[in-house]
Amino acid sequence: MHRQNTIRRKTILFFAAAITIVALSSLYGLLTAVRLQKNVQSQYETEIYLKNLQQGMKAVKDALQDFLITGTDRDKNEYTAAVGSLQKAAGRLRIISQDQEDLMLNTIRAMIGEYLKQTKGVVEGKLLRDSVGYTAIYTQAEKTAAYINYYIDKVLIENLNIRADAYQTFSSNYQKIQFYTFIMLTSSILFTFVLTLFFTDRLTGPIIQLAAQTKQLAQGRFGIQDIRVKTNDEVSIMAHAFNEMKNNIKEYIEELHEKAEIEKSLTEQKLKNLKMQSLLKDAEADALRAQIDPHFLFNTLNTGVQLAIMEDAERTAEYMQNLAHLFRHTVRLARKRNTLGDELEGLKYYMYLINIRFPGKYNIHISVPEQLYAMLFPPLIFQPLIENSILRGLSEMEGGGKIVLTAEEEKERILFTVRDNGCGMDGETITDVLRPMALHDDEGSPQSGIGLRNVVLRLRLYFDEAEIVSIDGTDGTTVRIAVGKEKIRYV
Amino acid sequence: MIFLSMKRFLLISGLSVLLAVFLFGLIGSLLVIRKNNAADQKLFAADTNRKWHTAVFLPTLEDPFFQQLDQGILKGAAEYGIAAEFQTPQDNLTINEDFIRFLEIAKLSKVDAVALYVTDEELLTPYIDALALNDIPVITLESDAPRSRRTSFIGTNGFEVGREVGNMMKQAEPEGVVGAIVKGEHVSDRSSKWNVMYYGILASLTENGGNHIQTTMNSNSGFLSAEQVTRRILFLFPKVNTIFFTDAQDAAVASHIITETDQNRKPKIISYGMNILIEEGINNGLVYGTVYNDPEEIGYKAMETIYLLKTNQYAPSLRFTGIKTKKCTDKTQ
Repeated sequence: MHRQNTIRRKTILFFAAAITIVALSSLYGLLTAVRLQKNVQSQYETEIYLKNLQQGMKAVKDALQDFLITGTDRDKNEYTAAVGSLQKAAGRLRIISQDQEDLMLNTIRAMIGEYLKQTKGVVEGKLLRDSVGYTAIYTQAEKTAAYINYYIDKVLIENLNIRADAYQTFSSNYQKIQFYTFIMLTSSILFTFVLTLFFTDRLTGPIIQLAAQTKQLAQGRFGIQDIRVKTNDEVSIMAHAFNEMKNNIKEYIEELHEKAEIEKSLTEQKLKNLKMQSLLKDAEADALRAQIDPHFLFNTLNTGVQLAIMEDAERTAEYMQNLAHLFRHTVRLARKRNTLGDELEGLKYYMYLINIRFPGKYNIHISVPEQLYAMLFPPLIFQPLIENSILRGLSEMEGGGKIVLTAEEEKERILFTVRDNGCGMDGETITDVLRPMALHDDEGSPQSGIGLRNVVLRLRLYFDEAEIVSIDGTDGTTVRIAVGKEKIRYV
Repeated sequence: MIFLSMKRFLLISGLSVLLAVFLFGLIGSLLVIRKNNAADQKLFAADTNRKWHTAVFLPTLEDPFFQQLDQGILKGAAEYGIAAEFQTPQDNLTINEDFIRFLEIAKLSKVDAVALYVTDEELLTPYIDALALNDIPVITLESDAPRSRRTSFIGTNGFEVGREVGNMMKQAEPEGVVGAIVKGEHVSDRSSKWNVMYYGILASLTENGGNHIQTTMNSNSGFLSAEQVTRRILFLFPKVNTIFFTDAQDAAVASHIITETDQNRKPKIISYGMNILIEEGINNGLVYGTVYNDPEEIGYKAMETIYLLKTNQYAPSLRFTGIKTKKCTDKTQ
C-alpha cells in the first residue's frame, strides 16, 4: 500500500531536520571548545602534579619536624600519613620514554623515593635516640629535598617556556576554531532558513494556487489549467479533487452549450420551414386564385381569339393567344417541377405582350445557354425582375429602355444577371429588399416592390443561400443571382 | 516554467553554496583539531620503548659541537633503547656548580648511566667517583677525567689531535712557527685532554727546529673575549704568525679581526672543531685550516657503550673517534 505523506508528518520531519542541523552544528562547536579546553587542562596536569608533590613534601617535612620535636606517636602517625599521601601523589616510576618531561618527572619520583627512605632513617634514629645519626641523615634528607625542589622548579620553568609556545598555538587554534564554528553555525542557520522558505513555499504554494483557481472558477472561468501538485499529501488530494470537479463542471456546461446550439439550429430550421410553408400557402392561394381567374380569362380569351379570327383581326387574335398562353403557363407552373427552360418559355409570352403594349419602348434581350434549360429553377423569378425594371427603372424613359438577361457558367457557380439602363435603385431600397428573412416577414415595402422582395425570399429558400441575390443600383439596376453549382439539380 | 526552473536553480545553487561553506567550516575545524592533537601528542606522548634512563650533562647546547654531540646521542639512544635526559646549566658562571648538582641528583635518582662532558676534571672527579660507587656507570664525552672512576671515555685522542694541529701549524708557516694558543671557555687549564693535546702540539712542533709556542691565552667569555684576546696577541706578540683556537667560534671571530686589521702581518688561523663559519673561512682563505672530530660519532658511540655496559656488563674504557683535517690549501690542491 502506498504510504502517503501527510502535511503533519512532513512538518514534523522538517522541523526535526532543521532543529537537528542547527543543534548538531552547535553541539559540534561546543564539543570542539570542550576538547580544546581539555587539551589545555591536560597541559597543566604536570604543573598540578608537581604542585601536589611540593605540598606533599612540605607535609612530610612538617610532620617529620613535629615528630622530631615531640616524639609522640600522634606526630609519628601524621608523618606516616604524610608519607603515604606523598607516595600516592608521586606514583610509581613510569615507563621510560625519550620525552624530557617524563624523564625529569621520573628523576623526581626516584628522588622522592630516596628522600622518603632518608626520612624513614631519621624517624628510626629518633626512635633509637641516636641523635647524631638521625641529625646527619636529616641533613642529607634536607639536601635531597632541596634537590627535589630545584628539579621541580626546573621542570616548571622549562614547562613554562613550552607552555608559552603551546598557549600561543592553542590561542591561534582556538581563534580558528571559533571562526570555523561561526561559519558552520551561520551557514547551517542560513541553510535551515532557506529550507524553511522552500518548505513553506512547497506547502503553501499549492494551497495558494488552489485558492486562486477556486476564485477564477467562481467567476466562471472553466478554461483554467489543471493544478499540478507533485506533493503526495492532503493538498495533492484537494488539488486532484478540485481538478476533477472543475473538469466535470466544464464538461457539463459544454454539454449544455451543445444542446442550446442544437435547439437554436432546430428553432432556425423550424422558422425556415414555417416561412416556406407561409410562402407556399401564399403561392397556393395565388395559384387557387389563378385557377379561378385564368380559367375564366382563358375561356374568355379563347372566345375573343375565335371572334378575332372570325372578324379577320389576326394581330388581335395573336395577342390574345399569347396572353392566353401566358395565363396557361402561369397556372401550369404551380403544379409541376419548374425548369429554367419553363421559366424562359413563360418569359417569351410575357415579352411578346410587353412589346405589343409598349411597341419599341423596351428592348429585352435574353442570353442563356441551352445546356442550362434542364436545371430546376423556381418559377416566376425573371418575369417579376423584368417587370420591376419596367415599372421602377424604365417607366419614366421616353424610349431606349434596355433589359438584358444573361446566364454565365463560371467555375463554381452560375451567374444570372438582369440589367437595365434605367434610373437605378437607391441604397435604402436595396437594403430593404435584401434584408435578412424574419419570422413575420412581409414581402417588402411598396417602394421596394413586393415582387422583388418575394423573388429574393423564394430564391434564398429554394437554394438555401442567404447571399444568393445582390443588387447594384448605381448605373441602372443590376440584379445578380449567383447559384452555387453544388446546389443545382437537373431534371 | 522558466520561472520555476530559475527558482529551483537558485534554491539548489543557494543550498549548494551554504553546504560548501558549512563543509569548509567543518573541514577547517577538523584540520585545526587534528593539528592541535598532533601538537598535543608531540608534547605528551613520546615513544616508551626505552629501557635505560641516562642522564647527559653538557655545558651548553648552543655551541655547534654540543649540538652535533646531542644529535649523535639522540640517534644512538633511539637505536639502543636508551632514554637520554639532557641537562645543561642555566648560567655559564655556574657550570661546575650545576654539574655537581646534576651529578648529585643523578646519584639520588639512581639513573642507569651518566654521560658528561667534563668541564673541570679536578672538581668533578669526586662526584664521578660517587656515582661509580653507587653502581652508576659514567661515560665521559670528548673531555675526560682519567683519574676518576669513570667507566669509559669516548672522544678523540688528545695527543693525536695536538700532533695534527702542530703539523698544520708547520704547514701554515714552513719557515718557522711562532705560535699562539687560545683556549676556549669549555677547556680548563686542569683538563687532562687539553694537557695531552698541548703535548701533542709541542711534540709535532719540536720535531723540526725553529718552531715554538710564544703564548697561551684563555677566552673564558666566549666569542666576545675571543676578539679581545686576538687583538692582545696582535698587539703584544708581533712575531706570532700562527694562532690555534681550541674553540671553532673563537677562531671564526679571530679570522675576521685579523682580516680587518691594518697590519701587514696576518697570522694564520688554525681551529679545532668545525662549523659553518669555519668552513666558509677556510673556503675564503680567512682560516688556514682546522682539525676536527665528529661530535655525532662521539654521541652515538657513547650510547652504544652504555648499551654494551648494560647488556654485556663490559665496555672498553677508551674509545677514540676519528680525527679529520681541512685546510684552505686543500681546495687549490
